[in-house]
Amino acid sequence: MMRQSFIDWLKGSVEVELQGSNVAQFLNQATQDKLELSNISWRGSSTVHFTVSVENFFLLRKYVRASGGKLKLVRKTGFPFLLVLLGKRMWFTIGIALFFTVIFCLSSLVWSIDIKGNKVIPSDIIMDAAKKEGLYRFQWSFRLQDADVLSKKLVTALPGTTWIGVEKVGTKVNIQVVEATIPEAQQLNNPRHLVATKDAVISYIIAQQGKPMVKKNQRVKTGDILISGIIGSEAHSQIVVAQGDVKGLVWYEYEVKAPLVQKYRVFTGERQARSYIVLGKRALKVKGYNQEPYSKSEVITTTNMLTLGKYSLPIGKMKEMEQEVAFEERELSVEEAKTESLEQARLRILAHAGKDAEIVSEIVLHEATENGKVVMKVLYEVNQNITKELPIVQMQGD
Amino acid sequence: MGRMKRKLHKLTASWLDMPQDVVFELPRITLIGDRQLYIENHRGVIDFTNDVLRLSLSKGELEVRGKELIIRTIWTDEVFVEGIITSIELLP
Repeated sequence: MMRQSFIDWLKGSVEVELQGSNVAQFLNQATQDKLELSNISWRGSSTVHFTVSVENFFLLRKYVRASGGKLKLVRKTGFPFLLVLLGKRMWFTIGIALFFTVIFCLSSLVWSIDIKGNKVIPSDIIMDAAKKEGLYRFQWSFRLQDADVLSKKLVTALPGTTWIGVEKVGTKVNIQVVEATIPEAQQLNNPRHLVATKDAVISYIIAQQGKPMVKKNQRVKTGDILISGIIGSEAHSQIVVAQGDVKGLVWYEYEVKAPLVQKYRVFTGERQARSYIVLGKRALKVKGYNQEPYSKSEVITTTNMLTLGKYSLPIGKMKEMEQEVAFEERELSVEEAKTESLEQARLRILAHAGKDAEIVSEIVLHEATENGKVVMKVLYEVNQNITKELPIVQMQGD
Repeated sequence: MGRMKRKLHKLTASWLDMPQDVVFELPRITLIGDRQLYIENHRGVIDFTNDVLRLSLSKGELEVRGKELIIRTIWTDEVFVEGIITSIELLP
């Protein structure tokens, strides 16, 4: 029933007034020809109202003429009349249509392109390549090529990529980049010799390129060529890049001092906290009045400024945590002092000699206790890398 | 209809238990309260005013009296009347 009345509304119906005619005859004739009339009612002595569909209305005339009387339109309802109303309010209709068109158009644009997964290749290069393929911001969505086609084209356009995934989600395009793993390129080197950095006794020499000039257990001085970059005999010589590992024993003599009494800092556990509101460059104390700062203390300050998105405002809060500090003294025995200073010396040497260095022997030459300090002279023998590059300068005309 | 035919019709109707208005072409009148009246199987409208609706039937006439009578829908053989109905008369 609902669908029927909806279809009736879609077709449109009118309420008609018929005056002074033979109603019975009119009704019989109309219904015989299958015209649907409804809501037939009398209004007044010789006036009848009824409802009829718009298409049937135009056929009524012959019946009206046959039975006499006048026809008049009283009311118009239905979809066709709605269109007429919209037509009268042209700009309103245009506004509605324009609204939907604009929404549709705006959602057919590409609003953002997101690039993920690129570490080596910079994003703007990827964006440029995408632009060449027709993928850029404010591009029409329907003008974009298929995702897999774009994928292939971008991979060929960008060297160094293994796979590029292009995915369109709504108005956003996600580009996922998987870069190719390239093995590390070999460093280019200039022709060179490898020379000694220190006086040492060679403990280990392996030459990968070039001619070794020294043997194991040989003594070298600073600057001696360990691996030569010139190989071959007098007649046919060739200049190469000397490469290899040379290790030697180097002697270090250190004087270390260790105090018998150590002073160190300790927190007593007493602490105070103060809070401030920061306005521009000034701080206003909020919490922590009536505090006396400790004579010896350490203060940790944390400042938080208010932020609005990316911008930080000149308003914020600051918190000061003051912890009381005391200095304590610790007495060391001579043994303890000695071990500590030796530790320190060892660390210094390792830092100086570099990685791969090992301390072969440690000999205390001389030790004395004076003025509350233990002074020691220690000789260290360290096995370390002693190579340095010396570039070979090509001489003209030789 | 001849007498034999009529007798045959009557027998068929009662034996097959068919509704009488279908077999004898009689109108079916459905009255709901005093507001709504369905008349099926009529032969046309003789007259219609605010107070009287006269229909012709296959045999005789039907007169409906009332006040503020409105024909809601009318087809060739059916009519649906609304209003305040005071009397229904079958005239031969």
